[in-house]
Amino acid sequence: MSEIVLENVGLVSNSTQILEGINETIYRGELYCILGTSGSGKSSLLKVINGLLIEIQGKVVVEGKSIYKYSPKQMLNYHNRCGFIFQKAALVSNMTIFDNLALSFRYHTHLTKIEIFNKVEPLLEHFDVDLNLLEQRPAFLSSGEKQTFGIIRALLREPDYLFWDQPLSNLDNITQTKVKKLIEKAPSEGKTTILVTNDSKYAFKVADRIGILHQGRLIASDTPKAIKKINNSIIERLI
Amino acid sequence: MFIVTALSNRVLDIWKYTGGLFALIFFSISDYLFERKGRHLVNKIITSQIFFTGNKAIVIISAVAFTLGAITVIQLFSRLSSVGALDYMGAILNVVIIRELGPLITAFVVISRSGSAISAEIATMMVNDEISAIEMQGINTLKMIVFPRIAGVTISLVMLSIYFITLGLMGGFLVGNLYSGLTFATFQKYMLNSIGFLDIIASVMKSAVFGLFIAAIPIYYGFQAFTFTQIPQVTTKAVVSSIFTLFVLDIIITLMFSL
Repeated sequence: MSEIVLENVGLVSNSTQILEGINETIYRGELYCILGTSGSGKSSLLKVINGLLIEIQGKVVVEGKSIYKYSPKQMLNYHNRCGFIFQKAALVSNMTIFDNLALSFRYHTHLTKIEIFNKVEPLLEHFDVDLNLLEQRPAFLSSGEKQTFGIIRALLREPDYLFWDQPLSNLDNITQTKVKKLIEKAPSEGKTTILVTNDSKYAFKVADRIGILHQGRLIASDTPKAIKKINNSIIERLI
Repeated sequence: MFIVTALSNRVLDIWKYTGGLFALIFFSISDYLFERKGRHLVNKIITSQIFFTGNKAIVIISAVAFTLGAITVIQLFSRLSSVGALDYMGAILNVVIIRELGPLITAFVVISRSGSAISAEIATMMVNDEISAIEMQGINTLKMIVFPRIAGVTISLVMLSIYFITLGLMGGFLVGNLYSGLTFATFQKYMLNSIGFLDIIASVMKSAVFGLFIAAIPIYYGFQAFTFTQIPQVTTKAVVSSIFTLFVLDIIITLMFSL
């Protein structure tokens, strides 16, 4: 059963065509990797699928309904089922790390601080996080630490859809290994996962299918084996 | 032809801006009132916004209010008493301090201290994708980001205005008493007894309306930033636009209460 369907999706920003004519279907529980050169529109495509960029062309259909026809409440419900890992963590700078992690629980529930901490604890242990960092503001953390907490924040609410925007950059090898474990585990839990990465080796190792973006267009989309057989200079240079 | 196109584009820009501003105010208030989810968290943020806005402005408001009140009362008392027109003192004080300068100067102080800060804060959040990150957690940003700032600034501005007026009148009496021998009985007879309910309502209403717009305008401009270089640009536009809007609103409300 199809999960996310992109129908002739395009995006124009500041008179520049960022994405053009993208048609693709991403299936439930699939790990779909998006590869492409810098500036090819990978992050923009991820944001379009999430409904974060409004003035798009075409349609993004999730479970049979176009998300850009959602009411504000429906869009909030959709976002509530998504976990988005931003390229630069995007932690709220005027809140402590713990407040960042707790934000969605505090908004959607009436859990106490201790109850929220109990929910956060397993992921904190998985990443072997220094608990003293929880009372710090993001400005005082390294990029890697911020990225780690950004990932924890996205995974906390056990979303149905996971969107990873280059999650492995800024991370040390040990943390990268831990993140990779979570990326690979997600499809087995029925989560639809879209991973944007520059690490083509890793993408070819873990992806069910790979989409290759070049100058805003999806020039190839298939299983890793099939992609490797495509005779295209751009794809060959990329992989 | 170029002039016509330029003018019509300008009109469209103003229309888009005005519509966007009213939509921001209307939908943030309606989302807060009609959606219960997250309200307990939003209320906490409103409280901290009231404290943030009030705390930053209180010292300068105190100084300006006391000084202005003193100057106004001394000037009025000395000039009007020399021509036997002390009866008019209350009416003039009403207009100068209660209806006009109280709300206006308070609003100017809040724009300079909080308006610019709000605009820069929202703009930075936009550029850093923090707004998107909050939205991606299923959180209504109109309720969580916009409404607390609008409510916080409006409530603060009303309270600061009342504080300004009170301190202005007190300051006026104290200095008038010290240097011109103004007695409390005279002060009460010619000033306090002239203050009507309508004067208070006009002042509070001006403060509330000022507060709504001088919160909404910086937020609106903050949301227009997409790169770091745009942050100071949108902050400047927010402050200039807030000041201009303040005078326009002042005229409108003054006319309303004069009819």
